[in-house]
Amino acid sequence: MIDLELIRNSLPSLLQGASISIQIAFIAAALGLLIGTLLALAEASPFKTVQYGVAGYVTLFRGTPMLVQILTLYYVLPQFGIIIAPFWAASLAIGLNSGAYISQSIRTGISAVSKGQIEAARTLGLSPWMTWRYIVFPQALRTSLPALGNELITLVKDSSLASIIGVMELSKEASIIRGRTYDAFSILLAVSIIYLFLTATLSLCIKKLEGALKVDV
Amino acid sequence: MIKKTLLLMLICAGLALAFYGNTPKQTDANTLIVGTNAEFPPFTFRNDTRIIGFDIDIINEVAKRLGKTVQFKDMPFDALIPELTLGYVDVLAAGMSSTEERAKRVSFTKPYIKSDPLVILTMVHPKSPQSMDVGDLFGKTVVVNEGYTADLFLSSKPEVDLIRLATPADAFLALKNGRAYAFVTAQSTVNSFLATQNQTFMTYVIKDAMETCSLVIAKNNPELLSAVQSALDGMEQDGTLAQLKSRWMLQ
Repeated sequence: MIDLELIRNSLPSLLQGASISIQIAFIAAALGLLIGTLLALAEASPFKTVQYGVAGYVTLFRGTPMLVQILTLYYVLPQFGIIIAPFWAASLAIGLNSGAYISQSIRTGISAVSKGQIEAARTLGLSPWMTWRYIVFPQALRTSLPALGNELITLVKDSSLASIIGVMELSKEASIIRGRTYDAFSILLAVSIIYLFLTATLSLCIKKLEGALKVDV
Repeated sequence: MIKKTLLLMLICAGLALAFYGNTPKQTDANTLIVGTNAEFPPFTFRNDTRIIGFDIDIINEVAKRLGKTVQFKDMPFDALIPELTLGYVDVLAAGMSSTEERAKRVSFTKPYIKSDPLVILTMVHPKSPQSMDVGDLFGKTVVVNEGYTADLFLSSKPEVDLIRLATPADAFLALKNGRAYAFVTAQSTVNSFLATQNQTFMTYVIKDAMETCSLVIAKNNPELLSAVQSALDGMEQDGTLAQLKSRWMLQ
C-alpha cells in the first residue's frame, strides 16, 4: 500500500516544495503582522473615517475566500499593467488576508488592557505614544499570542493554496507526483507528515514564547 | 417567537441549499458513468451548463451502440484516473492520451485521434521568429496544463522554465497577461481558442510530438473495454468517426 521507494525518490522535490511553503508562510506572516498591527491601531483611533476604513478592509478580506483573493491578484492585476510573479502574488494575497484576522486578534488584546491602567499612565505623565508603547502594547501582545499562534499555523497550511496559480510549493509538488504516478496514498501520507512536522515545530516555538512572556499577577 | 421562527426557517433554507443537487442518483447496469474534465475544448467543455465536445459525442455514440444511457461526472483532470481505478466511474472521456505510466494503472482503447501535434503558441512580438522548435524555449517561461501531454513532454527538458496550471483557460490567460513567453499544448486546443479571439498569435508546430486521444477503462473491466473498442471500430468503419471529427474541426 505504502510505496516507500516512491516516497524516498520524491523526497528531494517534496522538501524543495516545503521550503517554498515556509517562505510563503513567513512572508505572509510578516506582512500580516504589520498590517494587522497597523489596522488594530487605526481601529482604536478616534476618527470615524479611519474606523470605517478598517472595518471595510476586514470585511472585504475576511469575507471573501483566500483562493479567490489569490486568483484575483494573479489574473486581474495584470489587466491594470501590474504583473507580480506567482510566488509574490500568493504571498501578498495570503498576507493581506491574514492581516485582517491578525488585526482582530490584536484588537482583542488591546481591549483586554483595562482603562484604569491607561488613565493611570496618562496621570503619571506618560505621553499617548509612551502609554501605547510601554503599557498597552506589551500586554496586548501577550494576550493575543495564542490567537496569533493559531494564525501562523493556519498560514503554513494556507500556503498550499498558492498551488492554484502554479507556485511549486509542497502541495503542488505532491500533486505533480500524484499526476505522474497515480499513487495518491503514499504521497499524501508523506506530505501530511511534512506539514504536520512544520506546524508541530511552530506550535512548540509559540508555546515556548508564551512561557517566556508569562507574568504572574 | 417570530425571531426564533425566522432563524429556524433560515437554518432550514441553508440546509436545503446545502443538500440541493447533492442527492445521489439511482444508477443501474444500463447506465454508463463517464468521468470527464469539462475544461478542455474542443474535446470536453461546458456550453452554459451542458457538457459538450468531441469526446462527449464519441462516448454518447458508443453508449448508444451499447444500448446504455450516459451519466457524466465532471471532475479535475488529476482526479480522473483515481476515480476510475476506485470504480466510481466506468469510463473516461476526457481527451486523454495513452502514456506508459498511465497504462500501468488503466486500459486505453485504440486512439481515435492520432495526429494532433503539440504546438507552441506565443503572442506576436516585433521579433517573432519564422520558425521555432523546443530548443528555442530553453531558458524561457512556458505555461502548460498539469498532467497534459505537453507537460509530460516538456518536463523531461529541465532547461525550460515550466508553469503548470490546471486548465487551458488559465494557461491562455497567463499567456495573454504576459506571465509566460509561450503556451505549449495540442493544435486542436489552440484552434478552438483562436476561434474566440480577435487578436493574432503565432503558432509553431513541434516536430515528433503528437497528442493522441483514447477512451479509458478500468483494468478489471476487460468486457467493457472490448465492447467499447468494437463500438469505436464500428464508428470508424461506417464513417461516424470522420463525421464527428469534421464537426469539431479535428483531423
